[in-house]
Amino acid sequence: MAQRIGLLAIRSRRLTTHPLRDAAVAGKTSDFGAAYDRYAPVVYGLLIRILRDPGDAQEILQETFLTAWTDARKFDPARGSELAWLIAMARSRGIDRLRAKQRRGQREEEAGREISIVRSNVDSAGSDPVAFREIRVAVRSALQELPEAQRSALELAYFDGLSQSEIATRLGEPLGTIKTRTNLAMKKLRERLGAFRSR
Amino acid sequence: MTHEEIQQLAALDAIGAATADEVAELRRHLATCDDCRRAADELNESAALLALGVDPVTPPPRVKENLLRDVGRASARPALQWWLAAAAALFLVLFLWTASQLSDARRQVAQLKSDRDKLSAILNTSHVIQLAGQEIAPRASANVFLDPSQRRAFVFFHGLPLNAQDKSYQLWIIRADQVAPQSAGVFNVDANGNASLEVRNLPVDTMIKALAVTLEPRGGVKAPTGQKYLVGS
Repeated sequence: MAQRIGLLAIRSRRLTTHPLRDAAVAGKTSDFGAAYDRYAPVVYGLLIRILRDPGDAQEILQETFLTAWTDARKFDPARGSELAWLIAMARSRGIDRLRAKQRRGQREEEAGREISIVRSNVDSAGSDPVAFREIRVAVRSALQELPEAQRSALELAYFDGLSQSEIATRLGEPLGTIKTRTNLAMKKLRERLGAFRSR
Repeated sequence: MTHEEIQQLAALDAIGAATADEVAELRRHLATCDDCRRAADELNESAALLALGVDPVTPPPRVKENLLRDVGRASARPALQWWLAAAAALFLVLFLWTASQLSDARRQVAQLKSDRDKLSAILNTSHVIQLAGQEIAPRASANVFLDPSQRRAFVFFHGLPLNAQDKSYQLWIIRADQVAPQSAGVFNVDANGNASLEVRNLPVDTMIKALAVTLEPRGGVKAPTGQKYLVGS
């Protein structure tokens, strides 16, 4: 019995349901709203981390979920969870916006104000589901186990959208070294988070 | 590239750190390699989980309100598109139908033109004999277009009284070389008193002295017995 419960617990960590896709395909707005409530804090937190601007983050958040509604049929459960699909869309849009802003040189000017706004807006997400809390703990501990150099290579690419050569320049390291570090970091992440992937 | 190297590219791509050339190389390989495809999917999903390492932040309620409003508009669109598609399909069907009708009409016009050309060729060389209504049918008339080269004639009758079921009109040719009129055809008129007739194997036109129409028993007779309705020469 105890073994069974253990198995069930492990299974429940995997994000195998797709309420957002189902709601969008069925055209059920209220179910879609409920799925939004479940995922939005994760996606919005990521966008705040990338953009450091609540206005931009909210705009991209809304765009991402609207795309999820219109393109729900493009989501393929065989290739990952719908949360991963949402996150990938949001990150890609967030990084595009970040680069556009950097090109306009606005970011430096507004940096001080943005950070203070970000802090005032952050609240602990009371609705963070148990499944996400477990993954959160696992992701954080996996990141903490990485050597500092690997972790920063990973984070500069993922959250700041820097290319491998930009990271090499910034850290004053050879490009090959950066690529190796990123690869090692991703390899460990893939091993450590296996239990939380959809398959 | 080895599978190992491809999976290293997939790891970079998962966090958006691969160059455009590397991404192209990766896509080419993944299209044909299931193992690497699976590895790439796992790396992508692992990278997405990085977002869960960040503190979640509850967005302001207006984002959801705006989203659901937009979602409502987006879902109204497919219905509109459905109607548009239906309208477009209907339009296409009508268009094809019209095109086919038009093509039929064009064929008919071409036929009529060809007939008219033949007819006008005949008319240019023909001579016309007009028949006049007699006392019994003063408003009746007929035009006989003689086509001597083909030894035929087209006759158009107008304004004749409607013939009874048991009667027929009969056209007669009175020849210069014969006393007895020769039958050139039997016809009935329509509700407007009109009829037309094509006469073949005409005598040589110089031999035609006169033409006449009489009302005879149904099917016609060998020699005229009835009253003359039309006469011309």
